[in-house]
Amino acid sequence: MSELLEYEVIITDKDGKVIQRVKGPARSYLKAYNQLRLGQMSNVVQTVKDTGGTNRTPTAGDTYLLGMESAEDVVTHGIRYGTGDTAVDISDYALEAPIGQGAGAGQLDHYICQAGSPTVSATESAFELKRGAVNGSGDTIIVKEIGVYAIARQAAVLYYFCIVRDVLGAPVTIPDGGGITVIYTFKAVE
Amino acid sequence: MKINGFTTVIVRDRDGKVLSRKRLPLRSFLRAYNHLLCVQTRFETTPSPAIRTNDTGGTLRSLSPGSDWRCNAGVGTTLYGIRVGTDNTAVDIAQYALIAAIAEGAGGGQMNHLVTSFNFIGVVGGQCSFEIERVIENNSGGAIGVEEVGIYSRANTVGDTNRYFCIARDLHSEAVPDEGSITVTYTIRVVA
Repeated sequence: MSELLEYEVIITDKDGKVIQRVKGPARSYLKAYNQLRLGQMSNVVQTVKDTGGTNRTPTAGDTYLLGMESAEDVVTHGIRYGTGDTAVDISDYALEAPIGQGAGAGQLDHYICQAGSPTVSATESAFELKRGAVNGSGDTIIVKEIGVYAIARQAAVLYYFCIVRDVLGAPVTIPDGGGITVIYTFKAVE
Repeated sequence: MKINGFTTVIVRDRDGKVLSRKRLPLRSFLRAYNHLLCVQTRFETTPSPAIRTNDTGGTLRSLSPGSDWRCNAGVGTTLYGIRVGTDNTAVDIAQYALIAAIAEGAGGGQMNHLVTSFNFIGVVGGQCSFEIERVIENNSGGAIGVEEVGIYSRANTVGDTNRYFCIARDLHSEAVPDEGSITVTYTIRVVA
């Protein structure tokens, strides 16, 4: 039995037609993921660097810890896209160059980020975390990195932590008016 | 990406002398582990549809986020924390408990469980690791054959009741002498 993480990136044109689909094993759980998981298991507060590079001490054993779903237009947490291509370092605490929310130059309009329910088979348990975004910037946008920002709470204040970062094997180009959808699949497999 | 790790099992005699030390790759996350991650991901107090999995008694429970994955059990506590058992049935992802978990105590076939402790190793090269460890003593008056080890976790269920779930199970065959001990260490690691 192993814990696996996989991703799929789907690019569509302005008419919704799929023009590119990339699948691969994610290689990118980061230090923050293991620290937050340790906090959950031990019920001892850990010092974890947030996406702004500031050390935080999120509450252990908390409802919000490792929350990854997010609402439309919200980019503090959930799946993120970026334009950086520096190799992943286990101590990365953010995407190198995350793409902002909006319809301006170099921005994407983010949909909700939603997790599905676990599916179960004889050999695996899996669930998906999925988010789409539309490019209304007026120009193409090239995505080179993807990742997941998760929530954790300290003294009732929400902070955000990058727990996954992947640099794509080859950049993907979102045409103007087109979209991108990223699906991360979390698996325990036999 | 695979989350690597190891299970390390050390057996000592009554004088603390190491009789056996074995390390095997961690291959044992069970279904409940992933279900608990999913419920934290969604952070809804009452997820809809419900996320359900079997507790260590085999009863289906509806999970809720909060203290999920917690395994910091104190001395003598066997509801959660690292456990050992006597059955060597192959691991199946749908298992929800050790097959024959050893109970707390100093009677025949029982063992005394110390605290489940944690050690954050941190980043070494491209890896980030931590350890979960428990020493379990045999004061039963006879040798005990351990065949399985695992992690029981405390977690919230809908209605805010704590229940217990087996999130990992591994096979290790060891004989623990009377007055000896077994130390089980899970090393959980992510690799960039």
